[in-house]
Amino acid sequence: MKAHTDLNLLAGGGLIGLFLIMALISLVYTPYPPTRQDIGAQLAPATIAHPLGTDSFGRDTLSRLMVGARHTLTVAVFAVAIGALLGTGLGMIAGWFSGFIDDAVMRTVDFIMGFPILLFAILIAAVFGPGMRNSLIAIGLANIPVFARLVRGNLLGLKEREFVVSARACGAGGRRILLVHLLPNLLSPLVIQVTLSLGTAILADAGLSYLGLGIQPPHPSWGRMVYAAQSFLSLDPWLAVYPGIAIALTILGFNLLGDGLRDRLDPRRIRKTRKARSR
Amino acid sequence: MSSDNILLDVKHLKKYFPVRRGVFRRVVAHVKAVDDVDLFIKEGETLGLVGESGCGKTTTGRTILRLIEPTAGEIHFRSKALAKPGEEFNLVDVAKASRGTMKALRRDMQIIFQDPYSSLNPRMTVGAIVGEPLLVHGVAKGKEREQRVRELLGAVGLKPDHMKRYPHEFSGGQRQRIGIARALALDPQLIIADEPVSALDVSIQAQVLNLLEDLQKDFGLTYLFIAHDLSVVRHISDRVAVMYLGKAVELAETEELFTNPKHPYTEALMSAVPVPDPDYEVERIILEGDVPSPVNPPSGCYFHPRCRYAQDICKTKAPEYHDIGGEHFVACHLADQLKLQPVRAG
Repeated sequence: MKAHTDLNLLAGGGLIGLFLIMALISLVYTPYPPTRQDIGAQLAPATIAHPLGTDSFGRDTLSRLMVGARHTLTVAVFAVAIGALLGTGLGMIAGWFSGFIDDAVMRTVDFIMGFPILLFAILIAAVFGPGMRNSLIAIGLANIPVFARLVRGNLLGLKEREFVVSARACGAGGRRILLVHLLPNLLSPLVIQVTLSLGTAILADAGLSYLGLGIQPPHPSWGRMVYAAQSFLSLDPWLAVYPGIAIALTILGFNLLGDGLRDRLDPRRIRKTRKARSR
Repeated sequence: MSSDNILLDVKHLKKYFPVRRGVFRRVVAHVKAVDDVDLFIKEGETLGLVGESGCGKTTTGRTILRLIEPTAGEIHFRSKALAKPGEEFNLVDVAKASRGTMKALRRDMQIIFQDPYSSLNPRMTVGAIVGEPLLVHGVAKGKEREQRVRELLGAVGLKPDHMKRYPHEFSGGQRQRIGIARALALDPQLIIADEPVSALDVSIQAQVLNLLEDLQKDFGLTYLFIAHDLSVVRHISDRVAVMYLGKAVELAETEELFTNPKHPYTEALMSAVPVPDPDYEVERIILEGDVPSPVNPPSGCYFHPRCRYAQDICKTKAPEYHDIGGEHFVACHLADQLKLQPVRAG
């Protein structure tokens, strides 16, 4: 089990680290400027000059993939951070107070959930203009309900447990009970939800980019690259495969990282393995 | 009763839980979990509180600690933590205590839970669990707190280096000891032990009971011992109160109650105590029917539908809870007339 946990952490961390490094390098170096068109080399296959080939405008795929990583990871991480923080906060408020506050918060959350993310992104784009920041906000807000519901549901069960009564009996206040007793017990489901949400955020960003609501051309994102490639699927399928693989590996990486982290954070699992090893 | 050594005096304690129905969450009825309970505990003694499941024992205990808000009643407590300078104690009504007063009172009144599995936070180390009361009340910091936690663990028979471990690494009995150490942390006067051994193996029960008795001597504790196991209660209690359907029906010194029960419900309860003697004959009284619903209790005496001595008066008039002499309290119209079957002394 220990080895398994470490393997998850290592593989997940390695994959995410790889893309992170790629994104960081792209800040100082890319083989070609990601938006420079080489009219003579459109849809070029992989060569020494273009290791992953070029797209329909003759732009270097590797360079675009590197810059795209920066964009995709930023959107995914920040959007999920917004959703997780606001959602957890709202969920804890709703779960802790019952009655009117609970109803008010959860009906608001239901409203957000019933509102299509696409419509929401269009709305934001219409008011503030399209762009990475706005697609990030739209995806972040769309992520609130799932976290709020998860946290509220778990909290309702947890706050009936006797260790919460015990905390009150020793004089602990509401804030201490929420932050010291309840929040740590919510970590496992939260970590899992974060990793799942990171995956869907990447896909949502790809969808929004495709519709022109996210990052604007000619700047690259993985999602845009996949969708731009679909017109040339029969001519040059690799154009879609590279960013597709990048998206898949990132999601896989986040999931592995989440599994490993969850195991690491759970005292029950650490101890068992420590004992097993010392035997 | 002499009032100078009474630590806790509960008068007319009531807890009604509202039953809500319909779209507007209208209150349609009340569950009378605790319905006019009177009891008092003297300093240094153990008061057993017995009764069948659902009779309101646990609710009574938790209401005394204000973990559940009482609906009505008075809870007078002689608090050391709230004593004014120069005085030994301060008599406060827990039921009316403000938030600040209540927090200070928590230093004097603690609780031990029934289930050692759900009463310890699985994400906290034993050191953090036992040290939390010290932290919350700002009693001891850093090294001092660690030292105090070590002492407490020692006092309940655990090793000091157990403080770095998590609750799941311990057995049920050990976990219960952790819970006891936590309850002791603030050096309380009163501990409400809510069925502290009923979730444990019989072999472990004796160990924990002995520990509780030793701690009572060493720390000068007073216990309200809630249980449904009569042999355990007889062993540990100085006096015993019997509850039925949210009401206290009888309260007396332990041996007096077991050998001279005055309430028919107590008699029935006692007849279920197994006596380790094959020649000893006792008439086993089987109560007919179910416990009535506390939402809609019977008229008159709550026990009359199941009482084999019930008269007409029992159906209409609720009996008064009164002292029949020698601090033996009973709520039965026929208390002086009935000759009830005792449990053999022992």
